[in-house]
Amino acid sequence: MRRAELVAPVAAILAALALSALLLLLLGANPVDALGALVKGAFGDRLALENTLVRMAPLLLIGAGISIAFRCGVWNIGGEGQLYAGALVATWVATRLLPGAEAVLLVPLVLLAGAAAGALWGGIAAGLRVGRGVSEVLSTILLNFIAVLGVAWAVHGPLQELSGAYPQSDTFPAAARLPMLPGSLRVHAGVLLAMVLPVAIWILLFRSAAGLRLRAVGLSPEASRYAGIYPLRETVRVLLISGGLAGLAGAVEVSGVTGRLFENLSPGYGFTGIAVALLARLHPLGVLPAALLFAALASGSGAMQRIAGVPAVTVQVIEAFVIFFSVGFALPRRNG
Amino acid sequence: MLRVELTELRKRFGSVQALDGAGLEIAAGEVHALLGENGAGKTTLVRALYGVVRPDSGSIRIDGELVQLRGPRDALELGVGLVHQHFMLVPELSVAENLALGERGGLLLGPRALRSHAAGILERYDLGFRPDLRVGELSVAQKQRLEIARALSRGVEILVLDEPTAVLVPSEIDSLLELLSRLREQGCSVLFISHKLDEITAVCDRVTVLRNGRNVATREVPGIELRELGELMVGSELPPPGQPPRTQVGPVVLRARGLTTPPLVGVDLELRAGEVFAIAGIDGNGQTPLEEVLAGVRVLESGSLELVQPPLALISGDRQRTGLVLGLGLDENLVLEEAARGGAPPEYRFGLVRPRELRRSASAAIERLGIRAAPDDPVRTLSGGNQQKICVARALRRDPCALIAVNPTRGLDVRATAQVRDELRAQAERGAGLLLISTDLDEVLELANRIAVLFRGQLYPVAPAEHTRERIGELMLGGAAA
Amino acid sequence: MAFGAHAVPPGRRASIAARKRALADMLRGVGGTRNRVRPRASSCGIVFALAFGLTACGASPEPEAAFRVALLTPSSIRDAGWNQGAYEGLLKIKQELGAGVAHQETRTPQEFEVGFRDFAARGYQLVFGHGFEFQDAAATVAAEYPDTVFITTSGSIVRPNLAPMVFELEQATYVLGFVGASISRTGQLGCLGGIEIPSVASTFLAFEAGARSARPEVSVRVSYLGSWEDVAAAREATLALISAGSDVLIHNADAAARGFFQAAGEAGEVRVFGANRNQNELAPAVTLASATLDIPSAFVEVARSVKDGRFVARPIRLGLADGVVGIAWNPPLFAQLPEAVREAAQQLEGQISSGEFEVPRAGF
Repeated sequence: MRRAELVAPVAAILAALALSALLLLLLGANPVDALGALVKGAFGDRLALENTLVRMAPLLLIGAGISIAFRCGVWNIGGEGQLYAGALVATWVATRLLPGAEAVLLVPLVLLAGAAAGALWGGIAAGLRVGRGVSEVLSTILLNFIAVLGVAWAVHGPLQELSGAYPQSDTFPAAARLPMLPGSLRVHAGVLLAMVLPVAIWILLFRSAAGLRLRAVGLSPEASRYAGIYPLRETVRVLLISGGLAGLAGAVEVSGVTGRLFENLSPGYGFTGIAVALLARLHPLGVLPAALLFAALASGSGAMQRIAGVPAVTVQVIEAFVIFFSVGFALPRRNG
Repeated sequence: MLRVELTELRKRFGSVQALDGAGLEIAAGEVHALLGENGAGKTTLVRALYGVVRPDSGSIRIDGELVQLRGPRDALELGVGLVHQHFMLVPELSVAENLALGERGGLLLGPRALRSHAAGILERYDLGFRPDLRVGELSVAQKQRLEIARALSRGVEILVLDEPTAVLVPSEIDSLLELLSRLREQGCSVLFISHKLDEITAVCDRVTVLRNGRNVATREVPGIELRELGELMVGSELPPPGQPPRTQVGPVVLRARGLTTPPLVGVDLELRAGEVFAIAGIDGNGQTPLEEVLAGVRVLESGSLELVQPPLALISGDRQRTGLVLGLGLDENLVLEEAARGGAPPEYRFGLVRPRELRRSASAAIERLGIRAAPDDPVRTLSGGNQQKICVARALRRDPCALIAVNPTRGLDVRATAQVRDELRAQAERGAGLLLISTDLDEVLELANRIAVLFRGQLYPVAPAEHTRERIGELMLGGAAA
Repeated sequence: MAFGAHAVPPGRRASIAARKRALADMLRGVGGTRNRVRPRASSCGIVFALAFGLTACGASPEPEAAFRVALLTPSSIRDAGWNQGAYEGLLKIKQELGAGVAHQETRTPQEFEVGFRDFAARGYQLVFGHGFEFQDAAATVAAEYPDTVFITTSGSIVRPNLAPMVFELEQATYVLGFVGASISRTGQLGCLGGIEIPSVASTFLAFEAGARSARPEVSVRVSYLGSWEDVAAAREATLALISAGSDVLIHNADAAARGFFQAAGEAGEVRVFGANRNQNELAPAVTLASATLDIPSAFVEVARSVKDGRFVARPIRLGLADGVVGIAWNPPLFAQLPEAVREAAQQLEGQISSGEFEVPRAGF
């Protein structure tokens, strides 16, 4: 990323902070205290830092996937649905298919199953695009609803806990839970995985022949065709990759954080992931700081309510400011 | 009286100093030529005059008045109009609607008012087409006339034409030049950008030569020698015009039979190793479909295309849309074709790039073709000539046996043109078959061993005895079909 | 645990009315943009909405009182229902016990856990998690912080410092089911739930049992939204229930219930029941009664027991007898009921309250 490209995202964040401070002032709260609580709640102590890191993981995976898709000119808005699909299948593997397996086998299988399910979910959109020319914007949005409702059905039906009391799955067996990372921070290994994968995506996108094809299609489908690339083939590939990453995020969430599946599992990670990618200017490495920012905002906003007594609505408005400015200012300029 | 005075204009785009103290004076009622190589700053200079580019420093005076142009609207208000190289017309709209576009209240006109407004303009400027015709159906020359008429109808008295002849055939060029002298008689000032020296001597009063963003000279045109102008422009001696390659013609490398896809009808052609086979013709007679078929992006209705001797390489006729990915760097554009077909370019190992190798081959291409750019500069920022050289460099990378070049020197200056033609000639001499699809008759005559004319989707071979400007010009206008 | 006679204090009623007006203003301000763009009006609306949010939540930095109480709600405290009741309970604790209070809106189990842990770590003596969904997180954190008392409203997990508070709203819905079946012309009743959880299903179960005790052949349709907040979906689902033949309906859908009342008001020829609060004003022409919960009083009682060191961890069941659960009739519509139904309803209420009759409920 060149230095000039850093200006817009940083400006977006500063603008959002300034406006938030103004809003807090207008409402009679002390912006320094409130924003201080935000920072404290995100990084202030071990608990806060753990919370931020754990929230960062799905944003990293989805943000990296969205970045590569958008770079290829494929507007995958379906991260949320792909996450749910991944969480659903991962839960099925962990609680129904192989609940008795060894951890060394089960954890990778659970993650792979989630990624495969997310890829499949993205693949449906790809199939509709190739077969029937349906815009992936529409199909991925609609597939979100199907996946979310699919999870609702599953936790009221086949995957509901055997005791049948609540609409949620059984808890994962210990062997299906992501192990904790060594060290003093209690964060699951998925966080590390989520930090490594954007680097892999960066290598794929900017250092490989396959990535060159993806970018070429995103920049100029016409010239790509003349060069012998099949743009639709790249569309399919990139939907599988970004869907797979979102599905993996779903698997990481159930296996690493919640330990079971239920409705409303994701607080909109699939959509925040888009804001992360845009703030990162669609750069897989830029996703690292951008995801950290949004994760910090989410975990710090709780502290803003708890410590500074800022009401939840105000916190939501501040979050909206950051998303708005990151989309408005940090969106890479599109050239014809 | 001076209508336009541009003084000491400077403008920097990223690492490129496009204007470095350039200036220009246009008197009332004069046709003033602006001459310079690609990348000399001509386009930036006229864009500054039209308010599209805001110079970093320097002054713009119009009719003696110091002005700050915030956009084309300001320029139009002061009587300055620009006709771009790429027309700013909406092909889906009618002539009348295009004339109303951008006019104050123009979009509020009812259909009848729209038509009469347009009819008035068409009559005043002697344009013989109906106002309800779709602009997409007009020929290139007609579109250009329409653009000029639109500008004049808005009270433009200082008309800037950015390389207007690049898209025209000889007879059309003559009538454009005639139009320019008529405009001069009516008191209009015209700034005429070209790098065809004969056009400049035919019509212009004075000429300003730009090089590297600076003025080299301003001269009275009458009495000037072509040679002197050429040397002012390139800063050294002009290369002599080339000759078709003299090589041994070998076996067939590419064979097409009965290619049919509208408007092409049963086109047969054979390309042999070591020859330059040129397809001449006026734009719009099937060149684009033919290019698309050869590029493999268009489905044939019938017929067959056989590549007898691979590999095949194509220099696309539209470098900005289909030839290059403008957002990628020079280096990645070079290897794109090989990366596309799954085959690994030598700069890649195990599907991953070896950055040093990529840089080295990009630098080699830059050196060899004299491209002015860094290896990873996005090609969007490069001038047309440099972009075209990248297309050429890419096509030659794999030593193609069949090479197809579509208008390979369109919009290029004298030196770049000579350079590209030399490269192409060298390919034929090396033993490749070169299929040249070109609307530039000079180019066809300079390079081709064998010529055919494409007219309304059909190919008419031209006997070697008929390889003359007059005969081919006649065929291009349908002489064989009649 | 004993409570005094329950009555809505007039002061609180006024504050509810003021808040409702403010909400209506806010909706008008935003809705105004749809008809004609009036930027000033709409931006005023937004600023007003924000200011309203602030006053409603009382932005104040961390309290320094000796006794500190916190509340986690699963969604917005401006739902005119379940969550707003809890927040009012928190304010009442502040007022009556002089406690320092804090609130957080939490959406995910992860946030539940972080919220509990953070409040406990900073020395809060009592933390409420408002709903059954908080019990896993509460159990985890309760083990780490034995000095803090955790209360989940509904649920079943009990630990030395964790207890569920269960509101027996079933006692009221049973009576409403009985009345509903008695006046239904179609013989079909409808129930609209937010998310299908045991505590909600159980209120419908009691509603159905009450209905069958009046008319054994009555049928009851149940529909769930999968959301506590989707007003539009609630409206659609309600209209669907009505067009399928239900003419007496009850909801337990929290903030989404606005759509329920909208649809009922449009349909006209129906009778509906509110839940969790007195919602008779939301559609006065058709709302016959509300099954009410006096969450604030219940909260204060628990908080007092914690403050005085009397707290004993066991499920806290609160019903009609305690005055925490009640039935608020809409007087003009109540007056239209047949004499016999009115008498039977009041008799039933008395029997349940005295423990003479036990209302069936789902075991969870």
